[in-house]
Amino acid sequence: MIDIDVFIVSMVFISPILFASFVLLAGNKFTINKIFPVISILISIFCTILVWEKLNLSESKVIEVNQIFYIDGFSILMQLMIEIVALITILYSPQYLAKLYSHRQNKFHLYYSTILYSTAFMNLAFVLNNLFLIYIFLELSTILVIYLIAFNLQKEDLKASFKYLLFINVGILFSLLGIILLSYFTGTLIFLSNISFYVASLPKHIALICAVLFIIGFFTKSGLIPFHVWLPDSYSESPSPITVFLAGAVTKIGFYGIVRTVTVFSFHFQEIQTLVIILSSLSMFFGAVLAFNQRDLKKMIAYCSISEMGFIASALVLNSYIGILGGVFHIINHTLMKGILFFSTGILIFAYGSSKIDEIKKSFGNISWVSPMFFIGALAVAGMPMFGSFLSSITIFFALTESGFLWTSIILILSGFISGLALLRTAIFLFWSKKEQNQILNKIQLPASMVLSTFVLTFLLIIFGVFPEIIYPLLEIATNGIIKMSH
Amino acid sequence: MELIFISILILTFFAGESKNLRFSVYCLIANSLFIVTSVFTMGFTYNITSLYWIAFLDLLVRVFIVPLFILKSIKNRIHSEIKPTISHPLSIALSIVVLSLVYHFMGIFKTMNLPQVLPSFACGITLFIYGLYLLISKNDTVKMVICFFIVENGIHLLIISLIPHLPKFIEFTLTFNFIVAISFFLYIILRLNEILVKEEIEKLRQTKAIHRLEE
Repeated sequence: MIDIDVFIVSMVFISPILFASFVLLAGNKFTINKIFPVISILISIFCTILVWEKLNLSESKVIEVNQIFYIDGFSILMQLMIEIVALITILYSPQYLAKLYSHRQNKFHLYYSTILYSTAFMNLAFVLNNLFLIYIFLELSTILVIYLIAFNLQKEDLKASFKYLLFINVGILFSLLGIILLSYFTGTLIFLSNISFYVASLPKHIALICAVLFIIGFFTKSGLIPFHVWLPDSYSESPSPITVFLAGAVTKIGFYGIVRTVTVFSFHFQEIQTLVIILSSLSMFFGAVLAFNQRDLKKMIAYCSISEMGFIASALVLNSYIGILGGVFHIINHTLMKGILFFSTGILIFAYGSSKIDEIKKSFGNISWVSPMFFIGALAVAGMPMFGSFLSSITIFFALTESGFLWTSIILILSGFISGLALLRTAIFLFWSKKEQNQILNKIQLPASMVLSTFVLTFLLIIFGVFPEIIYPLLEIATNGIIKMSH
Repeated sequence: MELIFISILILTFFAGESKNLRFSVYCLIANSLFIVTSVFTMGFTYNITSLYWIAFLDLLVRVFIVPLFILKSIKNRIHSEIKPTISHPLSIALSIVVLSLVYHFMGIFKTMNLPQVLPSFACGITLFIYGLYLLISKNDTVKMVICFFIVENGIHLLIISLIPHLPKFIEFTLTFNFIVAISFFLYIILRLNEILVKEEIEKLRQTKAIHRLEE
């Protein structure tokens, strides 16, 4: 690779760092606050697409630079997804913050720069080759998000962010311990380009110890049961755009870690595959069951999210093309579904100041845009046809059945049904059930940016469901990248 | 060398089990001084110059900056920790068992003849496991940060044991992450303390107002 290519790869993460620093230094100047973050993310997206083009032209479908960078299709997919989530989060935020967080107006520049820094470190982690360095930047991006969760500085926000920081930091230290043990027993540094070779050469008991450490670390990061304790509180207490950022970007870091470590182990050791699938089934089932009785809309969606993430984790350890393909596709669909649901909830909070179902119902007025989008999100969670989530769920279902995990595929269908039912029941209660006679229906004006952000995600979810061939080239290159690295 | 590691474990035990938070922090400072000594000694014994730099950084971060942060966070509150989930005598007994058993068990790794792995590995693993045990058993937020410090010390010693194989900047970057994490922890604790103090004052005012009305 020539230097210009290194420059393009670097710009993917340097651009958000530079612009974040500008925003941080410039303070709360209107144009800089709102325009710079968008420009920086657009530059990142542009550079990622250029790298994707380079990757398509290369024979091996992997770009390696001096043992520093390792870029395959999965890196590109993750980068694009995180950049789009960051962009939509930034576009959704201004009106939301202006109304609900006006008391923190003098810190808005910190809010935007933290999103940019976090995006930059994630982007950097997705292209690195050395496992230690990947860990360092994943951890750094995770820690920075604390500021966003605790942005409101109220008691409950601070408690939720303390829980997040404690669980995530300690949890992810397990994965660092896994990396240390792996290096200790192989006597060398572990890179993505050589991890499969060294894992295959490990004695079984050592491999199992390392894999369990990675599972604890990255399952905690993704918020899968039984390491999910931080997730519902963090989702419900943070500002709605940040909830989308958490669900669409931060928890996905855990899946990146799973793909780069646990998937490799599962390809060589059947026991790891079984262990992960058992844990994922627990997440699928209990996530859905716990969602059912929640009275806080955000917590309900958070538990549904845990259930859905179980689908992804179970698919990513299957030693088959369709399994990995389904898992990767569901990562994207999960981001879109949770984005729609949390953004819709954000609009309700914007209008009524609460995410409690009963309180919203009491003061519910006339919001024309939210109900159809929330319904689409709920139907997609239930795995209805016409949405991308249907295709990915059904792919995972067939992959699990083919690999001999019929019981998991039954749990998958069941939990999808329970989650969908919980959300649809709430949606019907909120939007369709009869209102009290004396209730005044106010027409509420919603900011265009908030509605448009939600609409874009809804549109993408439907488009990927009806025309999956649009996203397939990216999914294919990502799946082949994962399989190539793991074998 | 062995004596230094045993001193680290004993001081960690005092830091973890002491009910007085201020005393816990002082134990941590002494503990960190021993960690600095161990890193420096390993640098000297195995002739690895980067360990001198790491020892210097440890002195700055683990002996001065982080303990100062923690001391600041307990400035406006009661110095004894909130009652833990496990009773104190049982916790002390469990701590002794965890520390001695794990350290003894991890001695097995020394027989593995791994090329150029420094001897801090067993101590690192022991601190990591002991810190996790403490984290589960404690309820006080500041004590939890102290436990996190212990877990991190464990990871630090583990990384040090692999230093001959690692690019040198990895340890520096990890230390940077550690400082960022601790800063956020203490930022949250300070903010929480402020809110709790405000709530207490508000409660007191309301009680006084009720008393006045009754009179």
